[in-house]
Amino acid sequence: MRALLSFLLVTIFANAQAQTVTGLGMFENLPQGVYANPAFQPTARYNFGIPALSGVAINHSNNWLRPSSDLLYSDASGNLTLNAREVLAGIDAIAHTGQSASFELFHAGIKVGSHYFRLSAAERFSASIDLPKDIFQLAVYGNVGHNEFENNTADFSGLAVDGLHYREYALGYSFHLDEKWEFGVAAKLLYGMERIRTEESSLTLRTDPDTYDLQSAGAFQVQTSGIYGLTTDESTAVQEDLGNYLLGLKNWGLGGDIGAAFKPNEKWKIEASVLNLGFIKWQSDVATYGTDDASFLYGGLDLTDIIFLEGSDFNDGLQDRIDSLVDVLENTYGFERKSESFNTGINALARYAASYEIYKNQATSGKAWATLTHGLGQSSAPFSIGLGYNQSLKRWLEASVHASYRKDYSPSVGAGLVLNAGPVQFYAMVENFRFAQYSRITWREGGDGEESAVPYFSNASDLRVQFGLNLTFGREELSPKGRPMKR
Amino acid sequence: MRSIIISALMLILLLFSACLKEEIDVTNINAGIQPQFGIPIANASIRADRVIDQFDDNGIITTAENAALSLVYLDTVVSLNIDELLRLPSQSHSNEIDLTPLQYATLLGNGSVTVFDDRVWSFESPYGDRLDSIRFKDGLFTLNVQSANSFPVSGFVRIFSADNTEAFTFDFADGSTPVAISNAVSFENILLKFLNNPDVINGLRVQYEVTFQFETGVTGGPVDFEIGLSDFSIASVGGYLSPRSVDVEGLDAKFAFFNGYDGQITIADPTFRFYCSNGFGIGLGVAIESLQGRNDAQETLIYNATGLPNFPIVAPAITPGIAVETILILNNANMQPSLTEFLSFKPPYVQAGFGLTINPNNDPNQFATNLKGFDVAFEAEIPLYGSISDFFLQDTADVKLGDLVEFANETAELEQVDIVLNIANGFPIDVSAQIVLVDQNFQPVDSLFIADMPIFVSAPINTSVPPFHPEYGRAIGTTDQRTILTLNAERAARLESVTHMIIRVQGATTNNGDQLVRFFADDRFDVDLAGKVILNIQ
Repeated sequence: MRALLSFLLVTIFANAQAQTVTGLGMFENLPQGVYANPAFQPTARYNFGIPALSGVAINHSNNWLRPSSDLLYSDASGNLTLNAREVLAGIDAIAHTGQSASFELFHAGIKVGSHYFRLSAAERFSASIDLPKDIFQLAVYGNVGHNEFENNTADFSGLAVDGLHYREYALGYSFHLDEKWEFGVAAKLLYGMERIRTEESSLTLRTDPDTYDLQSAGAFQVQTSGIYGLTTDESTAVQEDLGNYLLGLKNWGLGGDIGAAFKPNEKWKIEASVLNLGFIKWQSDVATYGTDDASFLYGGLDLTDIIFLEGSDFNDGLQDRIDSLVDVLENTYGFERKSESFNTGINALARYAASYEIYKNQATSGKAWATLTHGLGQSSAPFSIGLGYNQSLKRWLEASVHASYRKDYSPSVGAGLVLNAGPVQFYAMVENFRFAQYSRITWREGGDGEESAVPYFSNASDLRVQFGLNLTFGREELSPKGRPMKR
Repeated sequence: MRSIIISALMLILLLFSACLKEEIDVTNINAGIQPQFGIPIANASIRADRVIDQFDDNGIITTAENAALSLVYLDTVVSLNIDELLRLPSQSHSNEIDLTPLQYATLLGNGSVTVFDDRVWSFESPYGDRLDSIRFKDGLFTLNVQSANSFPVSGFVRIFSADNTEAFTFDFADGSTPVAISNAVSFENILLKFLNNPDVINGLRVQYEVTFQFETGVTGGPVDFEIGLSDFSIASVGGYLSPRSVDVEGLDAKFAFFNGYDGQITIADPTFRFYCSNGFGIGLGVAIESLQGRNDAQETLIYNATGLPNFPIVAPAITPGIAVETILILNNANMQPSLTEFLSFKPPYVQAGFGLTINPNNDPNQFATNLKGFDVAFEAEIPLYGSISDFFLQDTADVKLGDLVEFANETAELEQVDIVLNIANGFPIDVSAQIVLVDQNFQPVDSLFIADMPIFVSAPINTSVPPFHPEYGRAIGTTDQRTILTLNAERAARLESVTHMIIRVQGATTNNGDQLVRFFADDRFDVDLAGKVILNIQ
């Protein structure tokens, strides 16, 4: 049971794809708004991030496990039993768990007239694991248990492990053409460090209801870089030589963002941007495992030709058949390493936004906004929408609340805050207020034995937190009518 | 002011939402899941012909062109060569030669005298045969010349065939008295042709030439000659062989098929064949004088000649050295009671008394040679076409289940193991089985199944054609039967005292043996053995 708990916790904290908080880009003072739309220009003329602290984003997502007493039921003796059916009920088709983190190493931006130049570097991590519901069904009910798989086939398609660690060097430029049009672009040099990518996943396992014959089909391919050396003695892990790991790997790529904004009048603003276009060519410590065709039927050892043999003759015949079976299995699921380089994207997405300034005066303003994002190509960035409201109080405070929905997750409510104290700017944003609500699972062996406790979010459906510290100079003051004026 | 209030509310909402929502204390985790995993273990496809190859070491099961199976027992009943057929006795011919007064006077005057004599030697057949010729492969001629008072003698004896060709010559001489000559000469390949007429039967001409030498003091007297032919074997014979009976050994066959079989059995269309290979140019009459079966209980069932058919005469060979085959058949059509009824007696031991008659048609001319004799081979063809009921086998074997019990006790997560046997039966038989586990006092502890369970059920059979049709009773599909053997911890604990197991197998052909069925070489059953493990993960 502890092993099961460990497995669950590892998968919970192991994954996710990078995703910014929904309201990013709606804060006028926040230089990091360029990550939502490269056409964005913050209000300050000079913007510097505190190295390593200017942009910290941590995401955690888990669309299936919510620790709750509903998952347990107590018998007459006080023993608590895991309610497997409740766990299963919380899973739709795929149990996704993910974790990502991003750290801005450096950020500097300068505005010159209607031009804004930005130079930044960031370290980005993400990892996720997708487990098809049938894997859990298989664990809980078995392949011939009370659960009846459709067509007696457990469908593991969608089983995926995905991980990405890279560094991004970006040079951004935006240009406000006139009162209505804004354009921006960012060029990125990408340096890959680790990658796990599930290239193909369509495995199925059919069990004959009468004979229990097992028949697998489909394909499964995983590409890795920077992982093989960690798992074998035959090769040195790239992480062992720190200097080479940080700067000397051959996993280079190019990327870019492009965006535009249009203001048809003083109140409306419409935005569109494409982010994270690009690729990384993985060449260091690469390994691909998998099979294109996992078709295999196991109907038991075929004893037809040896059934009448006796003694050692039968034993030899049986051993031959076992050896043959092992050979076939190795050929089918051999997963021998291939070390061909491969390219992967960095989860490109498109973002569309619209905002409407509800009111504005010299001290405050308020605007409502909406965003929509979706992945491009093979990106794992999900479809999401958000509706929010931003309240500004002079230039020292911007706050927002929003509601958002991301595909495969329950809707959530989030908020953001940007505080400017002179040149020092602190900001924090959160997706899903429930991140702060947690459950504590305490395990006391036998009631009075050794105690261990694990806290976990009560609803980890889609937790995103982003915060940082910037130094901003030369912010525009608001005119009596609330319009910016140069200071 | 309004915006300040809104901003404040947003901050409060953020700060106060951070809380410990729930404490979940777990003292004894029970996953509470009982997954059931099924895996195939083994499979086999067993065809009847493979079973035959494996177990029919003596090749008694044969497969017809349409793959129908039969049990075929083969045995040699009679093997007769020419000597055993004719049984001619050793032959002898005696003669006495004495001097006439004139010849005596000549002897005294000349000191010697030669006497000639010519006789006919009739070859004796105790059966009245009138033979044209006999060619002896080998044999022994003997000549004894005896005389107490005769003068010394010398000379020869010649044997001539009917065509006056000399067949054999004996020279003899004894220069002293009394005369006593004993001579034996072996021979090979001698042809004797016989003289037959109203006065002579199987006659040979024997010519004597005897020279007497005078010797003083000898008074003289007759000389006795005796010619003998013995220890011969015949290469060929021709002529008239008179009808007669010849004693031959009977059939003594063993049908292992019935050994120890305790149920009812019906063999629908059995045939006993006697393959007669006649190399003699003689018609032969074969009769089964009795047919006797003896079963495992030493009971006997005897059919006498009245219930058995009269067989046609076994045809003679046309050409020396080339036998003619004649097949004599016993089946349901020519026996009363039928052969099926005879075999229903399940006799592992079958005996038959034979009678053999030479030339029953009394034909005047026959021949026989030693190139080919007369052989009778017995073939019992028992098609696997019939029915069986109340088939029952029981055996006892030692068994130790200590390891199993220990394993079950130590593997708490193992709730239950089901062994699943799926059989697709293409044989027209039902089989049920039971294994009773007993303790050292042979008291039942447990049994494999609650009751004797059908392990496989007869396949559907073809009854759309008449019973005599070769396809009637053939299995034309398969019947699927699933048998599940359940073993759980509670049951395993009971097995600790088990020391023996009693295995019972019962079976019958389709419809409990009421339906005639046929077995074919391509009858098959497919066995799939699988296991289901039910875990109880705490």
